[in-house]
Amino acid sequence: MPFGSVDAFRDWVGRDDPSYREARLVEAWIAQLGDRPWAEPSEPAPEMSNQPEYEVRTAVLPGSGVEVIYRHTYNPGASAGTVDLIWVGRIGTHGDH
Amino acid sequence: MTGVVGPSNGLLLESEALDQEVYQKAVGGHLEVSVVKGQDKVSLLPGAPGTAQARRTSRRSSVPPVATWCRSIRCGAQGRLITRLGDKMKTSLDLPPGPSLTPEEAQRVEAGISQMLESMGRRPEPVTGWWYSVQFPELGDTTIVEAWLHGDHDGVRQLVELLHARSRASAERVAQDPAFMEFLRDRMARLA
Repeated sequence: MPFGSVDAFRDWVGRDDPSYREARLVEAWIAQLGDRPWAEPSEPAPEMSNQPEYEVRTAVLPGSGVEVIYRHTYNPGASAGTVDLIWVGRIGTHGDH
Repeated sequence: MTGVVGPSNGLLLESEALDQEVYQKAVGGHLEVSVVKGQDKVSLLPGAPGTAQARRTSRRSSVPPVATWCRSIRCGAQGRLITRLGDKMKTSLDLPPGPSLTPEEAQRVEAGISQMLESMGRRPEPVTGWWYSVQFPELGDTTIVEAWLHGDHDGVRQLVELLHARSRASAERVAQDPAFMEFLRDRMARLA
């Protein structure tokens, strides 16, 4: 499944200056969304979703305290959808957007 | 409490080791290179204004974060980070595999955790990446894979439930923050 926008990841790197290891950890977790948009330990965010068009999910990543919010858009008639990163940031930094 | 990445966990992939080596050299001020930052050339010579060392000493951390380095150098770790995701990567990228397991152990862990996830109403997934690489205080500072192999299946299950609870709490926080919800909706609209 292809990624749409990954700007939120870049924004986070620029905003929060994560360590190399942390950036790699977050990147690796995000990368697997291309195959499994339901990846552990993500949870749906129904208030932000618009079924059956798309689902928004959130995850607090193990080992980093970084929160990832992303949209999985289903593509009717196609086997794969698209994943767009909406927000990447440390917990409690929503006000920094 | 959150887990921490254990420095002793696993072997670094060759590419990651190279990334880190270049990164550490750069942030340590040992690289004598000039790079283009905007229209200006920026020296990374130790101590020069705008250099890695100058930036390092101006921060509370002894090692500058990756983005500081990456904003001023067009090679190395961050370049690869951004390039990989920026290329609309379609394949998985996993963290180093962690401690070596025999094929039997790997199979046992994979099957056991898959069964656990299914019993929790979740989809099984490959036991890679953070399952191997992150140590959790809740598991006595071991990884999930190590705890599973030690027979602490209840502990692993409770931890996975805790991790989901954190993600659910995150979703609830977002739902209770109208300004942030508006920001997210606006962002999605622009992506559509």
